[in-house]
Amino acid sequence: MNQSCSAHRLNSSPLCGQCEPGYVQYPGSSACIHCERSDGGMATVILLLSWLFVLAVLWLSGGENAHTAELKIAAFFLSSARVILGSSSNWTEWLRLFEGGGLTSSLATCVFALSPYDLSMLQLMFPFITFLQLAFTACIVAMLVRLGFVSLLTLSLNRFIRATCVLMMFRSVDRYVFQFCTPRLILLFYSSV
Amino acid sequence: MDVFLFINCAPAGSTRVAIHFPALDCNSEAYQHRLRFVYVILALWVLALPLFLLAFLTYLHRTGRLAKAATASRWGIFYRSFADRFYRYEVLLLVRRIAVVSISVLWMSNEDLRSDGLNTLFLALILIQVRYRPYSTAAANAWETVCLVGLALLSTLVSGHSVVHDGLYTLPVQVLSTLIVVIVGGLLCGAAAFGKLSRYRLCQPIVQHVQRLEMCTGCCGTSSSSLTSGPQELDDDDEAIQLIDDTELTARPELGLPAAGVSAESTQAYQELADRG
Repeated sequence: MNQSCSAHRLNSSPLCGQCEPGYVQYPGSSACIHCERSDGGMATVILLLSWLFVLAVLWLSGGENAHTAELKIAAFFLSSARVILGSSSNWTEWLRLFEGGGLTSSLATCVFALSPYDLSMLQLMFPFITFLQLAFTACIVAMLVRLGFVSLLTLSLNRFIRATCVLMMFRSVDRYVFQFCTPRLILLFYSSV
Repeated sequence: MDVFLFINCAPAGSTRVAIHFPALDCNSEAYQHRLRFVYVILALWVLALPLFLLAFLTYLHRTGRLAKAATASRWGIFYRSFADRFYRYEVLLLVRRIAVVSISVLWMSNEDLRSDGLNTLFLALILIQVRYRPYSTAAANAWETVCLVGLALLSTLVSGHSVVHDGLYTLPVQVLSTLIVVIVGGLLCGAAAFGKLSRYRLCQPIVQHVQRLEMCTGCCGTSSSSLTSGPQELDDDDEAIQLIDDTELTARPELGLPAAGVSAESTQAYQELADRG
């Protein structure tokens, strides 16, 4: 089948779905980005941003002034708004920033030079990375408590458990919500055949 | 929940590709190899998580642990936000989110069905919310209503628009939808962070302004709750919580209401918590 695909896409691939060698496409993005080697710096930035998100959840979900009801309602509103509007609203694309792993799609820059299958798995595993970051934070806090820099009263085990629960509840749908709505890709493929 | 993205394949010539990500050849060995893992994740998130939560909350309720201070401090995030008889409401919220996403995505190619489904769902959710008011505070109930009305407005606004075939929304729809998202989302995020931010001197003018506004409108002004009085989690004092493990939450030494069988040590620990709170 002769078809004219958009830039850096393989004409021989079904629905022009695959990128040329040396290019990658992130789930949720329609562009093939030049990416021959993974960018450790960008990966670190993304991990740090994700960690900041985890710390924010840890901060919001713990302590005597926690408004967890409002936190859950806000998360539900933002994730649902994104899925209702879908990709037809490019004015709300910034909501992608809340999705962590989807950050790679939003940045449209070379981060991980992986196969589409591995990239999908990476996206799938992203919620678990936030749990690892929370566990890492707990280890750091435990060390600081042992050294006497932080009081156990400030950051207790219960706070970490609560934060884990919040992350689990948010992530269970959010990732699905954000990544599923990529009809622009469908449009792209239909138009290129 | 990228699992749904991964397994949603469609025919493409002689093979099948993932709709959301056609770089994935669904007939390839690499894909099939990962599919089993994806199904495990799918079962965990969509089925096991709500069912486990339901069983866990029911277990806590039946064993009478829901009211224990230690349980509330650790697991209260699942039920403390809700009124006592709605202790399993979090499970319903999970199912609700799955319903919203499923209608939005699975009926994406049928705009009428999608719009009708979402509008009906949000109407039903608003009615349920107004009728039962499941949250434990008036403030949270008000925010939930605002959230659902905002989503219903968004859903109505984009009714009849096919996200697959019609491309971008018109400019007025984009402006209005963005305004709804920014205003409602901003208010909700502000409410979530308010309790924390109110402790900082820098935020005191905002706190006073909100309190003044609250007094003027009286929108959430029941005796026990206000815009700023969400359900408060217990303190993080694990050591004290260990001491009062068997203490009912209703035991309030500061109010002269010690629970039966509570030792002087645990009462003192609770008093310390109350003082700190």
